[in-house]
Amino acid sequence: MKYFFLFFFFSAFFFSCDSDDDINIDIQFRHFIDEDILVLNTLAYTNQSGETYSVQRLMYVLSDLRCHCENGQIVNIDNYKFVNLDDLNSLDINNITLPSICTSISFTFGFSNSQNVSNLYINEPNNFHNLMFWPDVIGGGYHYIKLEGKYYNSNQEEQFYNTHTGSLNGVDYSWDYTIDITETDYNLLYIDMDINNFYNNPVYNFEEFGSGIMQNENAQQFIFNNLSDVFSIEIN
Amino acid sequence: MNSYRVIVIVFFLFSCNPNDPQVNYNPTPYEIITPYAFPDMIIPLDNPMTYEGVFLGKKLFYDNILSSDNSISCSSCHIQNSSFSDPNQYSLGVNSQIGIRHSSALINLGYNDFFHWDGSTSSLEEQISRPLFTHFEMNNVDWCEIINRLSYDQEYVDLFYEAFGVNEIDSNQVKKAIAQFERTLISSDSRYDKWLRGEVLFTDEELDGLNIFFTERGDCFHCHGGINFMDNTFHNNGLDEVFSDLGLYEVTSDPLDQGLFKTPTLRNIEYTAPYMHDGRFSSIDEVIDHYNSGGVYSSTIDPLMKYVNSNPFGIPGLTGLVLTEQEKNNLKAFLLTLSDEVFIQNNYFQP
Repeated sequence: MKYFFLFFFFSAFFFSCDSDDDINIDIQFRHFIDEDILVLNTLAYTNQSGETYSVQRLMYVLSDLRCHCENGQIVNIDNYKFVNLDDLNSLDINNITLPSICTSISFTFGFSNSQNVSNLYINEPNNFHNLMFWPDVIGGGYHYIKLEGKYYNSNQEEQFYNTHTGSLNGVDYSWDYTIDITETDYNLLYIDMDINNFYNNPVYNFEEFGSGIMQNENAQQFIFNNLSDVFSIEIN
Repeated sequence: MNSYRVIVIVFFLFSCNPNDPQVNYNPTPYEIITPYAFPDMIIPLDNPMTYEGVFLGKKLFYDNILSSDNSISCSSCHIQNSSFSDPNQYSLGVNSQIGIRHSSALINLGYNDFFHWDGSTSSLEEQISRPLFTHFEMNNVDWCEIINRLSYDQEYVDLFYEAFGVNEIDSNQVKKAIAQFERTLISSDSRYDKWLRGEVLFTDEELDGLNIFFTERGDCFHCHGGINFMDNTFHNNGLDEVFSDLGLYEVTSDPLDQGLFKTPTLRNIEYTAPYMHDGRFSSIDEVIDHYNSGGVYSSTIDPLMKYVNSNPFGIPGLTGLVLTEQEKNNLKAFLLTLSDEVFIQNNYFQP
C-alpha cells in the first residue's frame, strides 16, 4: 500500500505539471493612419475623400478576444478590452499563457447585441461605463468607438467630427474578426488599427455626414461597411 | 478556592489601567446601500465605514476648529441647502479672503475618481488637505496645529478612540473620518430617480428634455452621462478664448490640458447656482444659452463642443445647437427633475 501511494504521488508530480510547454505572449494595440503611426492632435492626415483631419480622442472596445491555439484549444483572453489612448495602461495585455502557439486570433469590434446591455458594465474599472455608455433613448448599451478630432471642410474652415458608433435602435453594427497568424515563433503580437480604413470603401466624408452621427443610420451603416480591414495583426 | 483568588487578582491587574479611555473600541460597521442603477461604491480597504467614523467626520465637517482662527468650517462653503455648494460665486475663507473657484457641490462623492475642479487629488481622503492648507480657505500651516487643537478637546480624543481605537489623534484619522462622512452624502431620490424606478411619470416637456439631453440634439450626456451626470474626467467646454484659470494644466503641466476642468455633476443643479468653475453663470438658462451658442473656440476646446464653428443643420454663418425656445425650456424641465429635496433637507446630514 505504501508503494502504491508513493507511486501515485510521484506520478502526479511528474505528469500533471506541464507548464514547461506553455507559451507566454503579450498583445499590444497600435494605431495608424495608412502607414503612419498615429500622432494625436496632428491636423495633417488625409482620408480618401481628400479631407485633412486630426485625431484628438480615440477609445474603443473589442470583445470576446480569443486565441485559437495550434493544439485546438481556444483561450479566452478577455471578455472585453477597453482601449483608450488617454490611458497608456490600456494599450497592452501582458503575460497571456497559451498551451501552444496561437494560429489565429478572434474578436468583435464593439459588442454583439447579446452583450450590449445597458448598465451591464457599470462596475467595471477604468471609468468604462461613464465614458462609453450609449443612451437608452437611442438603443442603449455601449459605444463601440469614440473617434474625435478636427477636419477642414471644403471652405478650409476648421470643424469637428465625432465618429461614434454603437447599436443604434437595436441594429447590431459590431464586426467579428478572425485573423490568421502564419508565424510560429513570437512572444509579442500587435493588433493594429488603421483609422483611415473607417473612412474608405465606401468613401466616408466628414462634411457630408456632419459632426455627430450617433442617430444617423446611414452613417452608422457606412462605417460598418468599412470595418472589414480596419484591424490587422503584426508579429514581432 | 485558591484558583478563584488568582483569577480575581489577574482580572484586576490587567483590566484597570487608569490611562485607558473609559469607552471600548468596538466600532459598528456602516453599510452603504447601493441605490437603484448606481454602481457599487468603492470603499478604501484602509478606511472601512463605521457609524463612529461617520459621526466623527460629520462633527469635524461642521466644526470651526479645523480653520486656523476657528472662524469657518467645511460647512461654511458647503451648505446643505445648496446641495453642499455655496450660493456665492466665490466663498469667503479665513480673514474674509476670497476664493478663486466656485465651491463644488458635495454629492455622491464616493463615485468620483478625481476631486477639485482641476482634479488635483484622486482620493476623497487626500482632497481634504487642500482646503485645510490653502491660505484663502482654512489657512492652516501644518497638521501639527490642527492636531493640537483637536487633542486639547477631550470630546474629540474620545470620539477618535471610538472611531479608530487610537489614543493619539493624527492627520490620517482626520482625513478618514471626514471622507467617511462625505461618502454618506448620497443623492438618489430625485424625480429622475423615481422615474427610473417606475414610481412617477414624466411630463411631455420633461420627456422631450430627456431626449434632448441624451441624444446629440443637446449632446449633454457625453460629459454629463452616467447615473451621476458626470463622466469623471475633464473638458474644455468653450467658456473662454484666453484662460485666466488654467485648470487641469496646473496639475499636469500639459499644454493640451489648459482650460480643462472636471465635469461637475448635474444632480441638484437647481440648488447649486452659480455655475461653472468660476461661477460665471447665475441661472440654468444662462448655462443652456452657453451650450446652445456653441461656446467660444480655443486651441484646447473639446471636440464634443462640435458646433462651436457650425450647427447641426448646415446653415451658413450659424453656430451652436440651434435649440428652439421650447426645446430649451424642455431641457430645463428635465434638468429640474434632478433635484433631490430629500437630500438637501436630510436631518442625518446636519450637525
